[in-house]
Amino acid sequence: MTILAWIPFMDPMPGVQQTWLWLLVPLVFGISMMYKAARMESVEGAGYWKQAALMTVQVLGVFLALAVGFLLLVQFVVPLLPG
Amino acid sequence: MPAQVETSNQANHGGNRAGFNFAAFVLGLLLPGLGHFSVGERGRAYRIFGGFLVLWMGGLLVGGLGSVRSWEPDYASGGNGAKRNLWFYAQLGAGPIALGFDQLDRILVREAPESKKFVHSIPPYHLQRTTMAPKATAIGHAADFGMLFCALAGLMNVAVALDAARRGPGERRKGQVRIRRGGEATT
Repeated sequence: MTILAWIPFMDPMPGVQQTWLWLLVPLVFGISMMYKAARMESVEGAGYWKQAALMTVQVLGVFLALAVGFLLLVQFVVPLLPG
Repeated sequence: MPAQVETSNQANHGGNRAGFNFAAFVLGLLLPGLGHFSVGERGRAYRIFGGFLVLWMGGLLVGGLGSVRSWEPDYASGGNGAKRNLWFYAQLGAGPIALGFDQLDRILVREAPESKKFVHSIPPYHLQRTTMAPKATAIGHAADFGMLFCALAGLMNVAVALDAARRGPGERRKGQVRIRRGGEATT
């Protein structure tokens, strides 16, 4: 019902508090689009979109790896430290 | 090491790049992609503008109009009066677009009529102080991500405008440059 009262671009998007992590995908994709548009030798054709998608996946992959690394650190390494 | 750096720069710039094109830089700040458009890189300009729209409109969609504001209202500072929003300086990289949306936020949200506001308690709550907050107020992650999307759009636009200023007409980027141990550059 909340979404019926939502005025896009005026009110904040409902449901973000529970699903905010997924906002990283469009955030990184937008950055990749601008970065690749400036850096690639040629932006014509499908190669540009492929490169932008690849950069998005790479950045999100690093985020995921960092998350797993910190999870292991906090859950398994920190408890081993002397109190 | 200095020889390697010099070789790297020469390889990146093709050795014959134009100087700093101030007009392209300013145009790039006025409208994302316009700097590249002005030096003949139209395909690049459209894609830059598309990327900017993804970030900017994404931020407004997530956080509402309040994502771009130069002054935080009273309720955001715990009742200590309006304060400058430092994120806005990053958003200013989008140029007049940021200023325009800030004015829209001022007119439609911050200075909305009292009927479109609600009473908002401000900490410390035992003092029972209240202020008025607009109904279209983002809090939590929606507020954070809305501002972050637009701030990154502004920062990326500054980087892209600098790229336009350093780019000669019709210039193409070289392939990735690798520096060998001896300082020799290869693509």
